[in-house]
Order: sequence, then C-alpha cells, then structure tokens
Amino acid sequence: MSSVTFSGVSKHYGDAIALDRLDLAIDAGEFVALLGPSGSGKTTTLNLLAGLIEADEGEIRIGDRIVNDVTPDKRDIAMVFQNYALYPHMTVFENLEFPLQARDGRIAAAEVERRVGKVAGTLGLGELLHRYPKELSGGQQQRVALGRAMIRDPHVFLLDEPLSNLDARLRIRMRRDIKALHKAIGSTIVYVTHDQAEAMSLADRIAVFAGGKLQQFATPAELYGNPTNLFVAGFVGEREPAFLTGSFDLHDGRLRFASDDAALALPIAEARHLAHLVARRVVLCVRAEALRVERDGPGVPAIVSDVELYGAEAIVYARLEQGAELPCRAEASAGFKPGEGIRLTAIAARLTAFDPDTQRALTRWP
Amino acid sequence: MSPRAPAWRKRRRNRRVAGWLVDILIAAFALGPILWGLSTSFKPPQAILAYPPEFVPSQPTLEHYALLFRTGIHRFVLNSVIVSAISVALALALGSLAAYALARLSFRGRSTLMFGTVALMSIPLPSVLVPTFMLLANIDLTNSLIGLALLYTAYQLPIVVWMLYGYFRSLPIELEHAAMIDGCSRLRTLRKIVLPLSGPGLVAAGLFVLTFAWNDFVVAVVMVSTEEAKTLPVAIYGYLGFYGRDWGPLTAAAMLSIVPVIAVFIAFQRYFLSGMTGGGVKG
Repeated sequence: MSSVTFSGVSKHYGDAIALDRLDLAIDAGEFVALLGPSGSGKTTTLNLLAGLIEADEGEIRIGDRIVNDVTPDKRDIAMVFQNYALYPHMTVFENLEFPLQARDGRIAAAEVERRVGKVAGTLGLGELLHRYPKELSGGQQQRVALGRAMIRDPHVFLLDEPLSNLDARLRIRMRRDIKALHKAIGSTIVYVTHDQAEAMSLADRIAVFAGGKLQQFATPAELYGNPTNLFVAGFVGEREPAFLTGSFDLHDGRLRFASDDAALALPIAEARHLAHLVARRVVLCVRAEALRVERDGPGVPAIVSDVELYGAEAIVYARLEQGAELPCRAEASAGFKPGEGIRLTAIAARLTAFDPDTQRALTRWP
Repeated sequence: MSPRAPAWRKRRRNRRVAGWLVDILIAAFALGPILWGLSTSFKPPQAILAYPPEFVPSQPTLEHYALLFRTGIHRFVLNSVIVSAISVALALALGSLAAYALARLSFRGRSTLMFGTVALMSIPLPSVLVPTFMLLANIDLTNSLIGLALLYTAYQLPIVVWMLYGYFRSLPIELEHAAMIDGCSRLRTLRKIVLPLSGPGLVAAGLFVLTFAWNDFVVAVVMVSTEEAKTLPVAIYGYLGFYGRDWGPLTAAAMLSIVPVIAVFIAFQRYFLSGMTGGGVKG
C-alpha cells in the first residue's frame, strides 16, 4: 500500500476546466471517497491517478514516485469500473488470472491456481469460475470485478462508482463487503461515488468536489458537522437542508433568527457558536434533524403540510406562519397528520451558518 | 356490400405480395445467370445449346470439370488461394494496427490521416494501374504472386482501416482501460482484448479483401503474363480464346471461381449476426 498525493493538478478540455489545481494527500492504507455530482471532477481525479488521462499541470505521486509520465500498466494500481469491464470473451477464471498473466507471462500455473482460488474463496466465486460474464448476475459480475482487482497486491485500489449498477438492497450489502475487504487487505482505496450515503458509510475521509474544485477533505463526521461551504452543507446529508437567508438578534436571553419567510428562537446557552453572528446577514442551514417537532411547548408555531413515512421515522413538512416550509425529522409513532398545528424547536447545535456572499462557513462546532 | 376483409388488412396483404414480387425479381436478376451457368456446367456438350433448354440437366456429367483439371486449372486455383490468403492476412494485420492507432491514440495529424485514408478509397483503380506496374517492374515483382498480394493489400487497406476503425470505436473503452491497468501494453491490449472481441469486424473486412483478391481480373492481367503466376480469373479469360465458344468448360471454370467465395461467405455468416461483446460491461 502507498500514499497518494496530488499537488496543484489541473486538467482542461479546451476551455472547460475539468479539474482546477487539486491538492490532495491520501495516507497509505486510507479509504478515501471522492464525492460530488457528475461533472464535478471526481472521475477526472480518478482517471488521472489511473493514468488514463494526462494532467496539464501539477504532480501526482503514488508513494514516493512521481507517476505523471508513467503508463497505467506500470503504476501498479487496480481498478474496478462502474460497468465492471469484465472481459466478455474470457471465463471468470481467465478474467481473474488476467492481471497475473499480463504482468508476468511465465508465472507458474500452480501459483495462478492458488491465487485465483484464494480470491474466489474470499468473494464466494468458487462455483462460477467456468462461466462467462454474460452468464452472471449483476452482483456476481461486481464480485468478479472486485476479485480481478484484488488478485495482485496493488499499491492503490481505484473504485469508480462500483455499486451504482446494483439494486438498492444489494448495494447496501456490498457496501459492508467492501468495508470488510478494506479491513482485511488494508490497502489504500480511492472510491468515486455521487452517493453521499455510500461515501459517509465507507470512507475514512471524504473529498467533496464541485465544479472541478475540491471543496472539502475531511472525515465524514467533520463533513457533516462542519461543512466548509454551502455546497458541502447541501450535498452531504440524507436530504437537502433548508437554507434560510436572514439575520440574528438578541432578545430576552434568546437568540432570534428572522428571515422573510421564517423565524426561529434559540436558547442562548445552546447557541454560543452562533452568538457572534448577531446583526449580520447569514444563510442558515437547517437540516431535518435540526428541528424538533412537538404538539405543544415553547417552539414556533407551524402547520403540518405533508408527512413522508420512512419506517420508524417520518419526515414532517412544517409550514411556518411566515410561509417557509421546513422538513423535520420525527418519530413515525408520533403520528403527525397534515393540517395539524405543531411547535418547532431548533436544536442549535445542529445549525450551521454561512456567509451569503462568499458561501463560506461562519460557524465552527468543535 | 361490405368487403370480406377490412381495408387495412387488404392493403397490408397487397403490400406483402408486392414485396415478394420485388424480392423474386431481384433474386432472378442476380442469381439467374449464375444458376444457368451452374446448370450448363453439368450438361453434356450436345445438350448445352439444345432447344427447348433444360433447366436441370437430365444427364448430368462432370466431363467439363475433368477436362479443366486435366489441363491443369488447379495451379491457377492454388495461385488465387495463395494471393487471396496473403492479401487477407496482410491487410488485416496492417489494417488493425492502423485502425487501432486512429481509433484510440491521440496524436498530431490524426484527423488528417483519417481523411487521407478515406480519400484514397475514391481513387479509381484503373488510373493507378500504369504507375503501379512501373513501380512493380522496378522492384522486379511483376509476374509474382507476392507482388500481386502486395498490390491487393495496398488497394484494400483504406477500406479495411475504415471498417476496423468503426468497429474498434464501438467497443467499450473501459475494457481497454481495464487491460492497461491490469498490466497490458497498448499492443498487448490490442492482441488480447480488442482483436478477440472484433470477430465480426475482422470477418467483414477480411471478406472485402478476399472477394477483391479472388475476383480481381484487371490488376492481375496487367501485372502478370507468365503461366506460373496467373490467377484463376485471368486463366478463365484465357479459356475464352482457347476453347472458342465452348460453353461447358467455360461455365465449369466460372463455377470453380464462384463457389469458394460463396462457401466462405456462408461459413462466416454467423459472425455478421452475432456480436461477442455481450455481458462484459453493464449499463
């Protein structure tokens, strides 16, 4: 396993900037997710690391070696493609042994047999070795693709949206398998995905990309708790938060937030990290889990406009008197119904504020 | 007074009948002379010009074929086989390298080269006969099968490159990326992944070269004058004078030149129908 370092790496296609001066240092053995919407530069980053495209500027290192001018076959990496890219004219066995044969044509047959057997055992492919890729289900193809990457002991594993072609349940199961795999082999893994849940559940650290720029590189908890800008705040998390543009003032020992269409009040003791923002225009990021819904109490009054059930929990859409509609997380068993009057209390610790012009975070929660 | 069948059904039937008629007409036009030749080649001499004509010979005979082989036609068949085989092998080997470079590598002048290749296809063959003869004479390759094969390769290379270029471009590029990451050089990727998956493209391009090399008369008659290097079409032309209007041996020789190509087409037709890339990539 090796570390991976990008220093000032850029990639242009004509006038379009695919990647803008990327600096990223991945530790050896780390599981890093590259997260972002399509066209954000995450796949460009992966392809640059694989050597499938060339950087216009900057330096890419795998371990201590600068690899800018090293062809993919000499970088000692392994990659799992979104569409698996299994060789259709070869059996599962031949697919698995291909990386061994390609690197060393004189490798002993017994050694090939042993290593294919080991990988097939790990991934449960033993029964399928003589099938062709088109005779396999999606999940099996996925495992063969993983196996082909595992068969050698590469410096770095690259995974390009490896789960996006699987159905939802299988995807969640494969997530655990991939995580277990990382624990077992301890390799450096770079994992591209547009699914924030996948990134959050798998990665040690996540690099969030947008518009060809790295937005933030941090642990999942840090990313969620302290998004560095509005984009990250909006992209990370189960659902898009509500963004309210307004300002705070102090009143009766409470911190009040008011915008054109919303008003919230927070006990000052909980909201210390927001206190320095009084009398300043901010964008407040309100996640569904930052609002508590109650039938009565001191909160701001609102009306339930819609309820979405998700098993044990529900998302309650609360319309404030001023007009804003905020999604809030609630227990499904509480049984809120559309049209019902409720009280909303903001959990101050879960609120983050951003500068409306620079879009950068103004709050920092330890 | 309502019609027995609805109007749309009638129209559909009429369209079908018209379609069949057109099909039969085209088939008769294309296959008629060939089938007539086939029938004639099996008729004894006195039955060939008999009136009314027989479509299926009542007393089939192999005497015309026997005569051809007694007079040594197999040498010309062998010459044609050799020239065709070398041309196909050479055109596919060089063509796949060129096509892969054009399809997957980025280099200065690639589109110019591609355009030039296509432009070459529009040069009429007869206009280059004299210069190529001079060229071949200078390097002492007239009257040689190698010389002919080289010419056929050169004439057919543009179309081969063009066809394989299109086919290679249609393969999922991830397969090649995967092979390179797995440790293959470009050439090895071509050999291990691209070519094995290009069966239909290689067959189609190969058949193009084969039919050209096998059927060519114009080039061979200009470049070759000795018996040793004559190909089948030139030899058949020779029979025209040799036997006068002797239709039996003539049609038999024509059949000898037609049947192998048809056999090859039938043998490889499944490659036109089935692709090999299924199941490798998803999405």
